[in-house]
Parts: sequence; structure tokens; C-alpha cells
Amino acid sequence: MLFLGSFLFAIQVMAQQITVTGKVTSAEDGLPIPGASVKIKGTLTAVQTSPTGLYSIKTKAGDVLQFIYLGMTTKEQTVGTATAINVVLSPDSKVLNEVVVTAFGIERDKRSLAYDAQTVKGTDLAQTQRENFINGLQGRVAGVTITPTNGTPGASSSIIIRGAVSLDGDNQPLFVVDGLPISNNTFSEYNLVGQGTFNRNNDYGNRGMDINPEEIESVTILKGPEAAALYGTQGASGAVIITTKKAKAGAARVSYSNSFTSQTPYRFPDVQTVYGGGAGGIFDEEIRTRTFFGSKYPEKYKIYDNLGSFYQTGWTQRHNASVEGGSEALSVRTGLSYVNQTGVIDGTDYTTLNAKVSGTAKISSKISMNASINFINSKTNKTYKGVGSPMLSVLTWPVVDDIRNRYTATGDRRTITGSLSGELDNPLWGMENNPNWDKVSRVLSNIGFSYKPTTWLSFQGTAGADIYSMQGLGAYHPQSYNANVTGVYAGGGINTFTDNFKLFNASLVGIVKKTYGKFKPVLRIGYDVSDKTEDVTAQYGSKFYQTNFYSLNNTDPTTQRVAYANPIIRKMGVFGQAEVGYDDMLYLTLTGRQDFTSTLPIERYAFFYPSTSLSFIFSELPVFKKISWLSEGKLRGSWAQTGKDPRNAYITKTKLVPQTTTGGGFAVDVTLGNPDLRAEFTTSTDVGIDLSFLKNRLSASFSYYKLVSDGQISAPRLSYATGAILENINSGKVVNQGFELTLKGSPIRKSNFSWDIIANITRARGKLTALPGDQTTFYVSDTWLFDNVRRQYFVGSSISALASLDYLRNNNGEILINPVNGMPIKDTNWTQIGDTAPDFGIGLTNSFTYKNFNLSFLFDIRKGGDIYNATELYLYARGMSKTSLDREEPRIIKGVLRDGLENSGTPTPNNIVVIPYITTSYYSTYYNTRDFIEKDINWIRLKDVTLGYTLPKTLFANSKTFKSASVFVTGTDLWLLTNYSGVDPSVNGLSAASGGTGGTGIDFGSSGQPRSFSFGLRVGF
Amino acid sequence: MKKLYIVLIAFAITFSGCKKYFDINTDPATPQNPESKTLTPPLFAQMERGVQFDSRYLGGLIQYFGGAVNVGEQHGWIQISDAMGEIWRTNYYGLGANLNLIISDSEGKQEWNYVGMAQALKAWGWQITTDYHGDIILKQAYEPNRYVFDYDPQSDVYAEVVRLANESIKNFSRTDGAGTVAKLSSPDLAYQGDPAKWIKFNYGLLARNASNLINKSTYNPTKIIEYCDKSLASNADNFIVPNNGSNSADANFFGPLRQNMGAYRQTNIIVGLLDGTYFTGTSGLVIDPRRDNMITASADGVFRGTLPYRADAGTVAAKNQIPNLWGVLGGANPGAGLGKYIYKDKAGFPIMTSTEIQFIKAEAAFRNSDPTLAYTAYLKGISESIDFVSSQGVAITPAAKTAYLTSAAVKQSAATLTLRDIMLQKYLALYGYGFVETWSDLRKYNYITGDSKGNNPYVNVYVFPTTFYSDNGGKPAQRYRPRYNSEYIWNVAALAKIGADKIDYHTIPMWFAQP
Repeated sequence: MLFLGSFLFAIQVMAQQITVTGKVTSAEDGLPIPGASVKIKGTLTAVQTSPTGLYSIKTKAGDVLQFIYLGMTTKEQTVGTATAINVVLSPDSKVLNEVVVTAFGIERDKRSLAYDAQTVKGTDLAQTQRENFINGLQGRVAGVTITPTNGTPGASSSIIIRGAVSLDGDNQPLFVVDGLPISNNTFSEYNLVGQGTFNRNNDYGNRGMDINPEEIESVTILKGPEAAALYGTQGASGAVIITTKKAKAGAARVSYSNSFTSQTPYRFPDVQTVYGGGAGGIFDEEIRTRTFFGSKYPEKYKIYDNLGSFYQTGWTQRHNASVEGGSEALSVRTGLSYVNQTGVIDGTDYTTLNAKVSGTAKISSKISMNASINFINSKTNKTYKGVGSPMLSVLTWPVVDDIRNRYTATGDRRTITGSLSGELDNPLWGMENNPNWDKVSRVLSNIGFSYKPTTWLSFQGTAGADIYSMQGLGAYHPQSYNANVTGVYAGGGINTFTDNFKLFNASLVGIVKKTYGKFKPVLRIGYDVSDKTEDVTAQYGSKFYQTNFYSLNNTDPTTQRVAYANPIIRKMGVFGQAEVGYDDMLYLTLTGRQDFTSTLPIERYAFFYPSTSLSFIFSELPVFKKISWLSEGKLRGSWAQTGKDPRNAYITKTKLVPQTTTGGGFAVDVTLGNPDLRAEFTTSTDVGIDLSFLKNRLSASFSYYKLVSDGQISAPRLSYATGAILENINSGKVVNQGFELTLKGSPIRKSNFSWDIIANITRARGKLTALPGDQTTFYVSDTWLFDNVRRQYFVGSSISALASLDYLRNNNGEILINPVNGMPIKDTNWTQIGDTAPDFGIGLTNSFTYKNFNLSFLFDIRKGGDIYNATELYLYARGMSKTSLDREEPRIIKGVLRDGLENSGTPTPNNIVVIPYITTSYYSTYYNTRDFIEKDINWIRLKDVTLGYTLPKTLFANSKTFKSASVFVTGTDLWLLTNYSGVDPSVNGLSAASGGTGGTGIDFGSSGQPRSFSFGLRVGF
Repeated sequence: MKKLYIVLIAFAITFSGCKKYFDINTDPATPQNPESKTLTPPLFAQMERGVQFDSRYLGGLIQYFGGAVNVGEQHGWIQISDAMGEIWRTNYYGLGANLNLIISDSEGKQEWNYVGMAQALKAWGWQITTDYHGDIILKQAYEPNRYVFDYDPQSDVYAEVVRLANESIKNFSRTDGAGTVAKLSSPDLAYQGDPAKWIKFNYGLLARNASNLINKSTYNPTKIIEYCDKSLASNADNFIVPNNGSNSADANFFGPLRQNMGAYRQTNIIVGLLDGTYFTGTSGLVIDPRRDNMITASADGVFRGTLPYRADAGTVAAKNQIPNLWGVLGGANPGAGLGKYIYKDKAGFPIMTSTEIQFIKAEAAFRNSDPTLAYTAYLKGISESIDFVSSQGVAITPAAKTAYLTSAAVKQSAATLTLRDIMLQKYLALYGYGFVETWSDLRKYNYITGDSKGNNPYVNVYVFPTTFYSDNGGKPAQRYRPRYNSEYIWNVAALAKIGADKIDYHTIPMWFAQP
């Protein structure tokens, strides 16, 4: 009877559609989970939970409901009679069950991966409130080094994964958004008329910063070989895989967030204010000099806070809004964001408007499609850097003169020395009269499909375009320093450019996936093609007709000049990847890729490279399964080859460049083309282990790698007897080694309170082991930006070495002194005097959750590595350094006279007394450059700290409009502890456009990262 | 599975057309297929660039320029610097690479005049580079896939100049092929494609080459006279590099627009040559008609010049400040478009002038014991120089010219003519442009020591600085080092072989000046 009753009841229920409602909450904090999918198993029917975690789904008894949310363990619940099913989801601690999005949107089981691919959640980046999201990555991923060029709005940041490999080429990774490469290009000044300042005095932003951090779902970093195996030459330096937020089905949801940020600079070079302007110990009463070798300031003078007058508090406001919703068949998301930042230097600002629409459509049970379009519009008003840096000018403005006094009575530029060409512009005057800006309009579009004809076969295709137009203007007022110091900008001058960039990409991947007993083979075959065109036109004019009007139309036509560049690069690749899994325990992957590129000579335009990897989940072995404290363990190893083509188009033939000398015409470029170029190859070996303990409360991931890059395509300087100054050749061998260690722990995991720690530890070292011919050295000329220090490698040295001219010494190592003046003699040969590569770096993230509060903070720690403090040298040579306060003390420089006896048994000790106060060349000429290479610079930096509070849901119980709200306070770059004497050791003397290890570790007039405080709120409607 | 095949077939089809799709590595923005006629105009600017840049130091050494502007006046050098290395750059890069392209393009097209022009400029480049640096890279230069280069002795370079100039003469004499005058006339900023003038220029190069070798047993004055007779005959044959002077890119390096020469003062020697001091023994006895065009008086009306490595000691109050090359006091810039002599924005820069050829001829004839021929050439040299200077400023009247030619500053008979007269007039005539040539003259006569035959034309006129640069060991400079950034980092081993790593390398005498 009971049986029959049940049976009948069941039939009745089966036939009956019921509506099940309920709530999905998190086991971690008891909070509702918005956006979780509730799906009827085996069907396509699914809904999503509301911002308060509620759902409602039509189903029938007997159906199995699946509750799915990323990062949570999926739960299944069979529908019975109850119409209310509340579900508590627990965090998915089975790390190895994660799916990792790799190249072309291929999702791979983390178990099968033989490399460590770390993923950062978009919210973690967005919450730092940085306008350039790349700066938020520092410390969050092992093996990734971010170096911002500057602390000013719209500054570029360079990102290097696993250290630089290329001597002078591009070492930055490929940026991929939703499966398609996009441009992270930083505009290079080589495109300007006369090649600008070789990226020394201006910066143009890296285009990856156009991505709205609020729209990022996650960022995965692919290091080296795997990225290259799939992305080919473009991914040879790794890849930053960005997945943006996708439309979610369900009732329309609206959210809005904002934040307001204040920024204050708080670190400045320490300068002396005891001795005033003048020379030879005589104070210039009329204040006509910006070198400070006079006597002590007489008391009667008022001291002005010129730094305070120049720097201001910067303000940023950000507004983000998004609307999403739709059905399973078609859902749409729109996101809109507006950022307006004014910098700490009056006149600098960055404004961006970012709009994105994305949609997902399920055309049939086999085919689904998605598409998105993202429009970005931004403008940056900049300041010059390097020798044009306002910082250097403020510091060398006499403190007894009010820097705000920048105009003469007649409205002209007021100078201290009386010479327009003899001193840097008053920085306030400079900001008002030397405009410098760039603006970008950009469209990123992406369309993708996936087609799954059978259970074992699927196809994925993506195509898209990245199109932008960037315009820029940099001008000098006729009275400015730059307009007077050389003839180039005589009468005032202007440089403008338009960079029209187009990148088209498409890829298609077919996947065959079958299971034969314990064997799980997967075959992936793919094809990708990219076509990149850039049209850069640059214009120059000088001799303004009308002062203070900045347009080419206002320049003397006879001075007008243009430069035009039109690089087109086409690439294509085919790859096959065979993966065999055995018993969920052992995975072998073999990959082969054939690349085709337009940048190599056509006879050698195609090249092939293989890779192989093995992943072994040893914790699946019975013997390890018994160990209760070991949750998971994986050993992995890979060997891969990577090919790389020339970074630039048209270097296989010598370029002829238009000449502006009398009669015009063409002449051979400074760099010789080379019809014998071939692809360069990097061989990498990578081994690692992943372990997790105590039900994943503690986990560790360690990787060691070695890269050997041979026959690099670089353009070294050679003897002019080659017929040019540089030549593109396959040169040199670089060996890179390093390790990455990621430790994760959850010391506390309670329903009300949890604490998580992540530590990322990185070490990367590159060494130059061979150069072609009998060459012993190689230098990157752009880095020779102030005094005799530059990025120069010697065979056997690090590829982040700095070289300079040291003092000459005798055989005993004693400094040689010129018997004429008692001053040291400088060597004329360049020797290595520093290495900017750190010993290691650590990123340490702590996050706490207590009821509705959450707090997280990130420390960025670096140990070792040298920094060239060019700012200090600049100031020292002008009598501004605090170390010069003992200048009145007579001294004998320790050393021996170069009198012919210096290498004999009895060298003559120096006995010539020097009083630097009088003989100021002690500071201005005879400094030892080595003293300004600050050795072993360490830092601990509080990169960011965020405190958030989610308002209790009871507050919104009666509201029909508001569904959720949270508030937050964020601080970035709040605190820096370092043994560096300058402003900020994390700077770049060039910009992200520079090649090799570029200007990182060269501090010349850079303003560091200002201290920022933000507060804001998020509201869900 | 079938679909997979379809996809694979699609790929296969794509790849078959693939090579063409990738064969786009030729710059659409700037040509990579050189054509002689577009490569030609910039060559001339490169020639003056090399000489003018380096004259900032060499000009001080030979005392055309003064004012203690830099170590040039001390016969010194600058460590780790490309300064003084511009002729090197011009020879190998500015000219060399382009000339090679011209030769290969025009040989293919049988444009013999282009080939000849390229050979003539190569010859000029090798000559001036070796006269300036001594041993240089000759045989291995431009060899593909070579990264280090050996140096060749100066004698080899001298022989190569002779070879190239003769080749060039042959090519300009050819009447076959496709190289018409019209094809070369517009790009040829110096001679407008005129083969006769190019042939004259080549003979001028041969004359220069041979006349540097006075101390050698092979010295052949008869040959030099023959070269001179086939060389530039009048100022109309002068090889002048034109300068548009409209902006900093096409203006004369010496002009006010470029702002390079403000600190340089006129020198004591030039003042003394122009006021008769060195020709008559009495200052002010004969005022050269060229004086007002070439130099400027101080505020008090007196002409002054600096001694080597002495700054202008004059003051505004005493009205005795020494003018700079632009004729302005206090090192100031008169402003674009102004200046004087060949120190003006639009002034052309002479590479070879007929006056130089006349003095080479005069010297050779004099050494050949033919004073009559020497005297004719001497007078013509002065006359040509006056005409040239006249064209660079206020016109010199024929009366003024005649007055000078018949004055005590100019020898009135072949019998009274001395080598000193010839060489000092040549020194004066080449003022402001013949830097390397004048230096070669000074060196072949061992400055103020004299040649092997006891001729000592510069004594009591040319003076050394009170002290030489500290590395010189008390010796005058005889050569400049190869360009620093070309050689001192990338070609060190080869430099060491010729001793160019020594701190006094620049004082080692030249092969050409030695017996």
C-alpha cells in the first residue's frame, strides 16, 4: 500500500510543474551569493540568483537541481515536494579541480597543466582603484614584475614575466582579452619627427591600461613556454589572459559604484638648504644662479616652501555602472565607467570614458555565440620627465625665491639666471606654457562561437578587431628652455602625431575529447592569424607666429616637417596539442606549432617548434591517499622551444630615411637591415611541484625554470665600418634562471571570521653568455640618459647590468689622482658598476573577513638590486646634496698621484689639499658616478589596503529599488620603507616603450607613486 | 570527424596562398630599393657635416678659431666622446653606405656619371679621413656579416684615393651608357651633373693627395702641376655645398640659426695676415681688402684676435672685446639670417676651391725650382681668393684688389717669392673651410720645425698654446682618434694593434708627413 501510494504520488508529482524558490548562501560567511546558477541537471534550463541570493525556477519533482557558482563546490539537490530549497555552498578547496582558461579561451583542467598559471580575480584589481590595472598586479602573481614609469596620471607601466630575455627587444607579454590578443603598445618616440627624445623625456601610456578594471572577471598569467606554444611568437614573453565579465541571464540587474580618491606626493629628494646660490663660496646676493656653491644663506632671506607651492593634492573620481540580464537564450551586459583624475602636479590629468556591451546567445543546444564591443576614449595631460622633469626644476629653484613668481612684469618667462637657455623652466611656468597631451579613441570588438556537434568534438572560434587612434601634442613656448637651448625648437616648437592602429585577429580551435577506460586523450588543433597595421604620421613645426597658440598652422612653413611610418605585420600559426591523461593522475602533453611571419625574410618565414610536458598527481597514488594531512600533490615538468620573429617590420632590408638637409632625398638609416636574419629560439625547461595540506588550508606551488635564448634578433652598435651605426643581427646567447614560489594559507576559516594569506616569491636572473664575432659588450643607447651610466651588458654579466666610468686605479686598487689639481682621474673604459635585478621579490596579500567587514592588504617586498639615482647626481653636481654640507672642510682625496710612480713600489700618496667650498669642481666634475649607483636596494611597500563593509541585507528588505549596498575605503602606496635615498626606486628612466630591460632602475627626475586614499560605495538595484 | 577533415582542408588551402600573404616586408612608407638620384642630394650635406662638426676642435688647433672654447686649441682630445669623430661618421656612414648603393644601382643601369660621382666622393672621403685619422679601416670596410675590422696603413689609403679618382675620371669620360647630364643635374647640388667639373674635382683630389707627400722620395712636383692644370680653373669650378638656411635642418652649421659658433673668436693669426703684419713685418702697413668680409673690429675699431687657448680678455668698458666669427661681441648671436663670411645660414661650404689648387700648384712649382710658374700661380691664387671672399660679403672693388696685389704684402716678382708667401697666403685663403688641408700643410712642414729640406713657412706666425693638453707629453697633435662610439667599444682589439689605445696616440706623426 505504501509502495503503491508512493508510486502514485510520484507519478502525480512528475506530471506536475512546480515552482521552487529558495536562497543560495555561502558557507564561509553566510552571505547570499548573487549570480549563482541554478540549473536543472541534464537540461539547458537555468536561472541565476538575485543580488540577495534568491532564485525561482520552474521544475518538477524528481528533477535534480544543480547549484553552481565559480569557486564554490557545486551542489545537487533532488526536487521533492518542498517548494523552498535553501542551499549553502562551500568554497571549492579542491584546487586541482579548477579549470584554467588558457590560450584562445581553451579551458584546461588544472590537473593536466604542467605549469603554474596563477589567476587574479578582477575584483582584487578593481578594488585598488588604480586607473592602470596593471599596477594592481604587482605582488599578486609570482614571477611578474611591474614597473610604473612615473607616478603621474596616464603613466605607462611595463610588465615583465620571468625577467627580460631579449637584449634590446620587447620583453613584454601578450595581452589577450576574451581569447583575442589586443595591443598593449606604448607609443614610441622613434615615430616622432627627429625621433623625439628617444623615450627619455616623455611618456605615452601603455594601451593595456584602457581596459576597465571594473569589467575584468579574472586575469590569468601564462608564463613563457605554454603561452608561446599556443600564441606563438606573440606569446614568447608570456601572456596576460584577461577574461571580462559576461552577461548573466536572469532578471535585469543594475549596479553602480563610485570612488573618490585623493593623492598626495610624500617623498622628495632630501636637499640641502644651508648653502645658497653662487660660486666658489661667494653667495650671489642677487639670486642669479641655480647652482648652489655660494656661502651659507644670510639670515635675512625668507625661505619659501617651493615644493609645497608646486605640488598639490590630486583628485580622482570614478563612476561605474552596469546593467545586465536576459534569458538563457540571449543575455546582455553593459558597463559604463568614467574616471577623472587630476594629478599632484597642477595641469596634469587623465580622463577616460569606457563603455562596453557584451551579449551571449544560445542558438541551439550545440551552438552558442558571444560578442562584445568596447569603446574607450581617454585624454592625458602630461608633464615632461627626465631632464625636463618639473621635479628637478623645483629642487634647483633657489629656496629664497618664491617659485610662484614665474612671470615678469611684462608677462614674460621669469628666470633666475637671466638666460632663457641657461636654466630649466620654472615648472609652474612650464606646465602653463609647454602643453603636452595625448588622447585615444579605441574600439575593441570580439565575436566568438562554440559548436559542439557531439559529446566528444567541439569547435571554438573567435575573431575580433582592436582599432584605435591616438593623437598627441608636445610643444615648447618660444621663451622656454627647450626653445632656446638648441636651434631645434627656436622660436617655439611643436610636435604632433596621429597613430592609427588596427589589429585583426582570428582563431579557430577544434577539440576532440574521449575517454577510453582510464585513458583520457584530448586533441586540440588550432589555427590563428593576426594582421596588424599601424599608420603613424608625425608633424613638427617651429617659429610660432603667435605666442601661446599651439597649432601647426601657427608655425613657419619653412620649418614644418613630417615623418610617416606604416608598419604592417602579419602572423599565422597552426598548432596541434595532444594530451593524454591516465587515471586522473598522469598527464602527458605534446605540442607542436608552426609559425608564419611577415617580419622574417620570405625564404625563412616559417618555423616550427615543439614542446612537451608531464604532470603527475602523485597524491592519487594509494600510498599518498593514506596520508590524511596531504590533500593534493602534483609534480610537473616541461621542456619547450619557442621561436621568435623580429619585433619590427621591415628590418630585413636597409631602410632609407628621408633627409631634411638641403636638397632633401634619402639616405641609409642608422640601422642596417639584414637579409640573412632568421628566427631566434628559446629553449626552456620548467619543473615544479604543487602541494596542498590540511584540506587545502595550506598550499604551496614551486617552479624552477631555465631559459636559453640563442641567436637573438637585436640591433647592436658596431663599428661604422659596417656602413651604419647599428645593425640588425642574430646575436648573443642569454640564459635566464629563476624560481617562483606561491604559498597560500587560511589560518582561520570560521563562518564569521576568516583570514587568508597569499605569498608570491619571485627570483629571475638573466645572464649574457655570448655575443657574435669577438664582441664583448652590448649597450642600449636609449638608457644613456644622464651622465655616463647606461644599460650595458658584458659577456658573462647580467642583462640588467649598468655600466659606467669608474675612477682609475693603480695595480693596488688605489685611486689615481691628477697631480695638477688633486682630483681623481676617471677611466675611459666602461665597466660594470651595478645590476638592477633584485635578489628576489615577495608579494604578500592578507585578507580578513569578519561578518560584513572585509579587510585586505598587499605588501610588495623586494630584496636587492641596484638603482641609479641620477636625480641625486644631478643635484649633487649643482651643490644641492646634503652630503655636501661639509664642503668647507679641507681634505685630501685618498689616492696616489699619477706621476709615473703610481704602479711602482713607492707610489706618491696624494698630498694636494682641496676645499670643495672653493674648488667646486669637486662636486660638479670630479664626482664618482659609482657613488650614485645605490647598491642592494630593498623595499617594503604597502601597495594597497582595502576595508569594505557590506550593509546588512535587512536594510533593504522593504526597498523595491535597492537590493544591496557596500562601502569601502582603499589606500594605495600608503607606506614605503626602503634603504633607497631617492624618491621611489620603482621607476623607469625611459618608458614602457623601451626595449631590453629598458630604463627600469634608473631614477632621473621621476616622481614616485603618490599616496592615495579612496572611498566609495557599490549599490545593487 | 568529417567536419574536422573539412576544416583541415580549409587550412591546407589557406596555406597554399600563404607565402604571398606574408611577402609584405617592404616598407610602404620609405623606400628600401635605393635609386641613385634620391641618394645623391644628402651626400653633400654629409660632406660639410663631417668637416664642420670636427672644425669645432680642429679649427682651434690650426688657429682659424679661437676663444679657448675647448681642448682643440690645446691640441687635446676628449675622452669617451664622439667629438672630433664626425669625419669618421661621414666617411663610413654618411657617405660610404650610400655611395655603395649608388655604385651598385648605377652600374646596373650603366649610369657611369653616377658611378663616377660616387667614386669621386669616396676618394674625397678616404683622403680626408686618413689625413685626419691616419690608419683607418679600408679593405674590410662594408664586408657583410663582419663585426670587427682591421686597420690599414695610410699608404694603402693614399693609393686607393689615386685609384678611385682615376676610375672616376674614366667614368666621367665615358660617352656610352645611360648616364646623361640631365639625369644627374638636379640631384648634383655641387656641379649640376657637369662631367667636366667632376673631372676637375678628381684632379684636385689627386693634387691634394700628391702634394701632401713633399717629404717623400717619391714626391713628384711635375705630376702635381699637371694635376693642377687639369683641375679647378676658376671660382666657377669651386665645389660648394649649398645651404638653404631656412631651418635648423638645412641651415649652415656655421650660421647663427644653428647657434654653434657663438663662443668662437677670431684669431691673432688671421688678424695678422689681414693687416699685413706677417707679410710686411709691420702691422697695419697693408690692409687686406678681404679683411672686412672675413673678420670684425672690436668696439674701439681695432682688429684683435685670440692666441691659442686664451679667452677673450676684453671688456665692454674698454671696448676691446674680441668679436666672434659672426662679428658680434661677447659671444652673442646676431640672429638668424645674419653673420658674416661663410658663417651665415645660407652660405655654402667650400669643399675645394680654385684658389687652393693655385696654391698647390705654386708650392709644387716652387719646390720644382720653377719660380716663374710658382709666381703666376701664387698671384692667381690670391686673386681667386679675393674674388671668392668678395662674393661672401661686401663686394671688393677691382681697384682695391689691384691695390692689394701691387702692395708690399704681395711679392712683386718671381725672384722674391718664398715658400712662406705661398703657404701663408694659402693658409689665409682656406680660412673657415680648408681645415684638414691646412692641417696637412702644417704637419708636412712639421708645424714650426720645417720640412726635411729646411723650409719652415709657418715659423713666427703659427704658435703653439703655452701648454699642450696634459696627455700630449708636450707634443703637438698630429691626428685624431677614430670615432669613440664606433671603435672604442666595438673594435678595441684592432685599435690596440695600431696603438690607438695609448693616451698620446694623437701625437704620433702621420705617414704622409714623414720622409
